[in-house]
Amino acid sequence: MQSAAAASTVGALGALAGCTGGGGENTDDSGSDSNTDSGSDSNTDSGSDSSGSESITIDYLNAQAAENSSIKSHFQESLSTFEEQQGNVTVKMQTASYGDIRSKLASTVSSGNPPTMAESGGGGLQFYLDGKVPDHSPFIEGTDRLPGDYTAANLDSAKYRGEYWSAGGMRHTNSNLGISPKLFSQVGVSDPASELSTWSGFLDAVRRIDEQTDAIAYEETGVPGDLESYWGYARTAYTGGTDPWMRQSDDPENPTIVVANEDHEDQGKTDGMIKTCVKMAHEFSSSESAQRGDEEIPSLMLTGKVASFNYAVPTANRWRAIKEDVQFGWNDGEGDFMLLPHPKVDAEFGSNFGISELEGVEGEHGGHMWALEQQQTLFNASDAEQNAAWDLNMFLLGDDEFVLPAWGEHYESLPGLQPKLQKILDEYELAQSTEQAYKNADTYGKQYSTTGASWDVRDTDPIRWTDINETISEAIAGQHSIEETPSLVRSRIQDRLAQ
Amino acid sequence: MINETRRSRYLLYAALGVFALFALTPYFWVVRTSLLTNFAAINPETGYLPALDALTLTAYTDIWNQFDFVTFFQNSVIVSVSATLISLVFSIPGAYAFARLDFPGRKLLFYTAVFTIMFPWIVITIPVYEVFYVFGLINTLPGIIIALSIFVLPQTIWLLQGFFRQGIPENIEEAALIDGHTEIGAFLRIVLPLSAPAVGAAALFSFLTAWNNFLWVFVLTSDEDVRTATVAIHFILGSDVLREWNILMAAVVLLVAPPVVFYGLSQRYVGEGLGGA
Amino acid sequence: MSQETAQHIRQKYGLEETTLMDRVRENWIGYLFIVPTFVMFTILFYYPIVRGVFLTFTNTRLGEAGSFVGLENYSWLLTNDLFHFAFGWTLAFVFGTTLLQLVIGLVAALLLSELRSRWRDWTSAIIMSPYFSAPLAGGVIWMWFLNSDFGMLPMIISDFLGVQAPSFLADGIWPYVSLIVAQSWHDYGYAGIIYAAAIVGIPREQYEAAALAGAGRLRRFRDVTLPHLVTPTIIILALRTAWNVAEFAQPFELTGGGPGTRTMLMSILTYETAYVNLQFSRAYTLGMAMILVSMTAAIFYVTVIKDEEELYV
Repeated sequence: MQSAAAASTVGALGALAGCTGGGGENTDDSGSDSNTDSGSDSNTDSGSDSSGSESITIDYLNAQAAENSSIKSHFQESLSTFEEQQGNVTVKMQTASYGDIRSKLASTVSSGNPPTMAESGGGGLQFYLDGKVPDHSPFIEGTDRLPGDYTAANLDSAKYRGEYWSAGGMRHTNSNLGISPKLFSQVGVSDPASELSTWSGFLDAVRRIDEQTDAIAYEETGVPGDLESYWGYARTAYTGGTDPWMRQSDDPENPTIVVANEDHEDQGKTDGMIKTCVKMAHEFSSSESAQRGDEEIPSLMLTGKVASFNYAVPTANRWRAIKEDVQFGWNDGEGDFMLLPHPKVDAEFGSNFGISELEGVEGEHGGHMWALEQQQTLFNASDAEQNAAWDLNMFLLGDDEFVLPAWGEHYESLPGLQPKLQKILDEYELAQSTEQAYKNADTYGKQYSTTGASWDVRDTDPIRWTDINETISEAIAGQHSIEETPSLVRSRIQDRLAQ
Repeated sequence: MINETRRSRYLLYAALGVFALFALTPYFWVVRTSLLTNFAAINPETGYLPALDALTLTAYTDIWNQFDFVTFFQNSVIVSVSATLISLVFSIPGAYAFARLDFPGRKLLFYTAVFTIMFPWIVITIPVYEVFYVFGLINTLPGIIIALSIFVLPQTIWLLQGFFRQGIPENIEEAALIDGHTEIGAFLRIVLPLSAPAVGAAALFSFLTAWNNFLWVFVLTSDEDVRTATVAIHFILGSDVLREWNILMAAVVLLVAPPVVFYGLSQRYVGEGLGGA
Repeated sequence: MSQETAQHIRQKYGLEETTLMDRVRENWIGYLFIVPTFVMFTILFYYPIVRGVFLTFTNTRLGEAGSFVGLENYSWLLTNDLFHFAFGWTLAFVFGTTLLQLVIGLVAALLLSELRSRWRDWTSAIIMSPYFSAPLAGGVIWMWFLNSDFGMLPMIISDFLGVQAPSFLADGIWPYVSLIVAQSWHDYGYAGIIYAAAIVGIPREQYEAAALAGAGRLRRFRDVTLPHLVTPTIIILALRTAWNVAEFAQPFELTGGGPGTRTMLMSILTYETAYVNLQFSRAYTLGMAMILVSMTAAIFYVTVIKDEEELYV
């Protein structure tokens, strides 16, 4: 296994060495091109390849390793393996949480002290447009497995108007419907997979829980940073992964905004799901819903306080951390937590829930894949450093000894390369929630596309976090009405694009 | 104060009790949570005062095993102590000059210094990072020490110059000058020894401010080797541990306990130092 | 010494004012004493501030200076609804917290001064302890204490009062109250310590003399204690106002500006603009508004007492 991966890395590297100069990112570097070229010609192993005997140190900033201690030690062990394989490369890994990595990068990059590679997320695109990040195309095209092996979400994220600003993400997470089997069986649900497969069915069960129990029947994770739940089911009014918010037009600087667009045929679907989000929160969620983070849900569900939410992720360890003997899956209605696809929008849902825009609309999406947060980018550096960083990227994406335990065991999530998904499924005995999340990714994987990835605009992140999420969160908090929310989202996006 | 009755004593104790309750109750809930298992901490069946056999130190051992707190605390101590000493070295003469020497521009400079105390720090993080980067001080303990020394400086100057002004009679210095001491000599031999309590109080405040500082350490470091305890807690908050209330609260206890205990041990000197009499 | 006397004589008979050069000559050592401090201030304060002011006239997104855009950022600021709200709420927050911190700190200091000194040390250590926890921790502590599902206060209310507690961080006016109370909890200790020191410093004879003259407890407080508290009050007001305007860590951990943006403070908005939306020039512009509030307050306090001499603790 490992040797195969290593071989392909070497191959990728050899091919790449010849290409680096072609990226045209920096004419100053042209002098060193001839060096690397000769390296690739000799076609030896990667050690001598990425610049002979001289030793290279790369700074690698990531957030993944800060998530928990077991993934962190796995990273540390794997990086020493990588260093041994390479011989002359030293990796200095630094970590910052996903919440902080953006500010960390903003200060380091803007004062000319960037890491060699970082898990830069959507901010990386802004750095790319500011000329701090090289075009990644030569690296990607220099391999024999990329971009073909990328997941659809990764490919969509890494591309910007035909160029690659990133090297892809090591892993993804998807958000799905999560329910408490105990509470749902209490109100007569016996076959959740079919009874909760449509929004009408789900709504019906949630209404019964709301009437018959003290629990919060459905809790929206409505803090702007965690409204990814909405990002997922916003797409359930569509099929085939169509983007609900913005579509590209002839002028890349002026994409067509679908939200509250009177002239657009899809306006009803998009506005309808925004209203569904706010209305679900108002009718069934607690008054804290507008600042509820997904972190709080496991505690609440395991103590019987919350019956369902739409931010269930594959990471089973999060649940075990709260209660060691947590029961995953339906278990004849006795389970603690179960993961399902997002419900499908059915033709009757609009009239059942009083959202006229959705009457007669049908669609499904299964869950929502996030890929932008985990995008890794190389930063401007010497060729040798960039090559070493790219090797590291390929190692983290493709080496089974790193990939399989990382995403199958230490931090259950979806690998960044499509072929690895099946390998993890074969290798590990996974909790119901993880396995179902994998299945959702498999069923809907082709259409899974991260919110904003296809917009190809500079301010993707501010648009999705601030203009869309914060505005909807304000609506959940009662700061403006359900009816005016879509047009507010629209005008904020317009202001942002006009900057 | 003079004709105390028993009733007013009791009233006083009751009032102080209310204050103590206000100060300590939020702490109590944190300590309680940190001594339980994760599920017990959120289980409604666990009472306000959990049964003794439900208490456990697992949250603390977990946190100690998962994170390198020895390094973090070591860094916190090194950084806070050094920053305190450096800021004293700078602020004692500075404060003395403001308090006693009538040089032109003193007023203006004094207000400029006061202005820095009031500045909203969050606004200037990026340019500060640039300056430290130019000097090669990013991710180094000396860098943090320098930043924190400057950060606590205005506060220390303010405290000390008040003491120099009011706490030390002017004629003592004049006497020293007449005895043939130079101004520096008068300051070192006469004024400084008299100021010991004020310097102590300023040192206490500097130490605590430096220990609790989050922003500058956060902005100027990314290596774990140079991380302080306060920033480490922030990173724990941002990680997956956010779901484990007991570990989170144990981290808070570890962060809060040292400065609070330190204050308890040294606070008797503070009144004397600040009072200026 | 002879020089001193000569000058003295000149001044005494109004023959000659002390010239600027005289003052420089006599007190040059003062410059020597403050130069190191100002060098350090330049690194951490003056240069960054000047650069920040410059950037507000550009369209800088990340660190590198963008192009000059005149007053565009300021007009953006003035037309931004969220800024209007954050500005108003920041004023209310600062007013509420500063006032509460002052009052609670004063009462605590007065009560403590009545204790015998044997007990006073540890009692005051307990009562002032919140001030010494990191602000970051303060936010977490209150978030947990007020948590609707697992927090202590809602639990007590439902167990002992038999009513469902409001959601302290979400319902109606409660998030505002919670933020102000939590911030006051954390920082009243500062006022308390300054006041306690001032009270300890009041000569005992003054009380005794007042008591002999037949003044009651209240009278003694008004005639003896109160005059000694004027200066500390100004100091506390000026500093706490500025620090409450700048406060970020605790409210950020406690509500982060939510639910929605209902408790958005200027400090949190500045952070969001800089680090979430990566628009530094606008963040600096917001910062200017924060400085404006702090400075207006400071100038107001200083003018109220007029005499600079009084400004010292």
